[in-house]
Amino acid sequence: MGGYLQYVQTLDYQALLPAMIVGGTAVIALLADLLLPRRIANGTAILLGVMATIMAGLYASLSYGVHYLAFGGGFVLDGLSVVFQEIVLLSTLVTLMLFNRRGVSEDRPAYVALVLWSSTGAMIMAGAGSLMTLFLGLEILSLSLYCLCAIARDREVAKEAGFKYLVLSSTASGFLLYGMALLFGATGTVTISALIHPATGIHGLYALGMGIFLIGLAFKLALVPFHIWAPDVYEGAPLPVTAFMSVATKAGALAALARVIYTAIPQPDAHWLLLPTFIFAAASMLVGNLGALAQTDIKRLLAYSAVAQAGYIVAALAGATELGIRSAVYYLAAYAFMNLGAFAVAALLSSDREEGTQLVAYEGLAARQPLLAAAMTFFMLSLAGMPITAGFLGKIFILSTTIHTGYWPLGALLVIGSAVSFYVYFKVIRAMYARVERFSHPEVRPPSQLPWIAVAICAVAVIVLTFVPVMPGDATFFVK
Amino acid sequence: MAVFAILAVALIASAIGVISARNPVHSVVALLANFAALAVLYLTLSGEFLAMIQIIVYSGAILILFIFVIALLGAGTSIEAPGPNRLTKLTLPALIVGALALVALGYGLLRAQIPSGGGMLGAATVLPVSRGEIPAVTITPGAEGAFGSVADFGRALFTTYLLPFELTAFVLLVAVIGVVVLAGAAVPERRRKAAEREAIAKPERPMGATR
Repeated sequence: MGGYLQYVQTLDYQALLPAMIVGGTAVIALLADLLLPRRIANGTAILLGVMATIMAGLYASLSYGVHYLAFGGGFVLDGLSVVFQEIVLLSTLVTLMLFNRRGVSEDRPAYVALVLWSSTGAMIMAGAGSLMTLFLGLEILSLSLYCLCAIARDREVAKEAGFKYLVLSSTASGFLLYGMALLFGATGTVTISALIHPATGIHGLYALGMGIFLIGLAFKLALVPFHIWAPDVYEGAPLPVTAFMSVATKAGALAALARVIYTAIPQPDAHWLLLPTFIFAAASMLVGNLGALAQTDIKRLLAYSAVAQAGYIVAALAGATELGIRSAVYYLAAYAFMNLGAFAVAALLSSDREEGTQLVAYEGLAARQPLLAAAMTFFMLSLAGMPITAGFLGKIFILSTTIHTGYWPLGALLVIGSAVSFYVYFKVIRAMYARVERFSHPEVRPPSQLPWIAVAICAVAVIVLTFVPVMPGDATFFVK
Repeated sequence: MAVFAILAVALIASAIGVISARNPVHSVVALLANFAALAVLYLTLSGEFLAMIQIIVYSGAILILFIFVIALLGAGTSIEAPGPNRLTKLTLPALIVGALALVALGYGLLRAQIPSGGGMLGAATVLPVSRGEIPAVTITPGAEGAFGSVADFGRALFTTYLLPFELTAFVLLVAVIGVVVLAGAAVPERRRKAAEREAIAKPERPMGATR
């Protein structure tokens, strides 16, 4: 009986090491809170978090191009998992730089720990090779986010956000789990790439389970009509958490969706199974951009924008082509930096007491802080998809994918949605460059200059992505 | 089949009882019935160990915790009169969608061809990614190491499903810390220490006096 340990090898844990570094550092950050005086503990926790994400990012990049099935297929190391883990880690790094004292001065190490843990969950989702790993990664991600949303206890809207997210997200988890149970009943396995087996094929139970499973994922991606929670939750959560949610949560859920579409649904025999998902994506492009029109709060505006952007990325996966997954990854990377950059600018306009997310705070910004206004303009133009920005390039890639695979209605909606979104993003730009007689919003001094570094990182990354369209092509994306 | 029918009715009825009872204690009792019926269902599927765990952990430990919490919050006192039901307009569409889902589910189940030898061990034999290193287990019902036994359960938990097992522990850690962050720090340390200092400085204050 003593020989069972041989079935788990050191390599298995090496594949999981980036996630383990991030998750383990969170525990060390909590210990620092316990052992060090409070003044030092806060800085130490953030420093530890930054170091952990950089280390994990470097380590994960080493395994790019390696294919390995760890834990008997429970965790997969392939191109997809590495790329999505890097996106999650970069968004965590930027998030950690956006922390200010707003509402959470008492327990910042715990705040850092929860962000690191949700990042761990998203990383596990990125590499999840079995439905069980996928669900547990999602739960680690969501549990930390419930707490992070409600962490600013002095604000009513934060409590509402936390509670709303808890209830609605748990319902979605229920859908996901029910779908998984039906899939297991239909196929007898929880390994995603083994769900399709020649002996069983596609039958009613499989289709039903997959349909319910995809509804759960659509909720986590905030696709229309499961998007109602997003603006309220994004508004109530503290600014860094909103930034993190808009990128890392989507990256985790998209990785899971891509893995399921590419490895567990035979194309093109069963493309009809995905039709509802693509209808959700199409609706998201329209509703997201139209909803953003009326918003005057940057967080709510970016929440609606995130709904639309998720629609664009899911549209790239239609048809399950090699080009599709590359466009999706490229667009997600570009979107991550544009979005995080916009949030970093908002963090620089925040004071100890108030977050600079109202549109009023941006009026006449060009006269006061030209550099910051220029950065924000750049991010907004890129989000809108102005030619020669990374956002434009990404949209062209997705458009060509949809035409190539025959899903041209999705491409047409992408163009229409983008046209509407120009007005949304130009509203922010107009506010910044408008001549203002007297600033109605008081000048604020940001509590920390760290977000400047975040703005710089994001701006450089978007520029680099524009001129060097990184399309990870030399590594196989999916290992079956 | 008769056993299954009885259990199915009991499971669904008790589940409805959990969400529809006004008194939280009644909800917990309905939940107890639900857990017990589920344990018997596991027994009929030859999951003896799982049935025992279900009784010991869920009925024995978790339900007792629920009852403690309800008792501490004051059973029966905190139930507010139900407000106007703002969802009445949605009742009919919800029923229609629910009925459609039920029909679809039933249709799917009838059309389904369950792979022969389904279930956990049957699954292990069709797993294309299993590395083939885990020795095949010959199943003889009732014997030591048979499907559903403790040995079989342990083997699955520590080989095929080791990663989910370890991640579950991590989920619990996150949940515990999350609760401490949200609830524990509700009284900021500074204020608590100030209160303690005050209490030491004024020992003459009569016992039991508040503020």
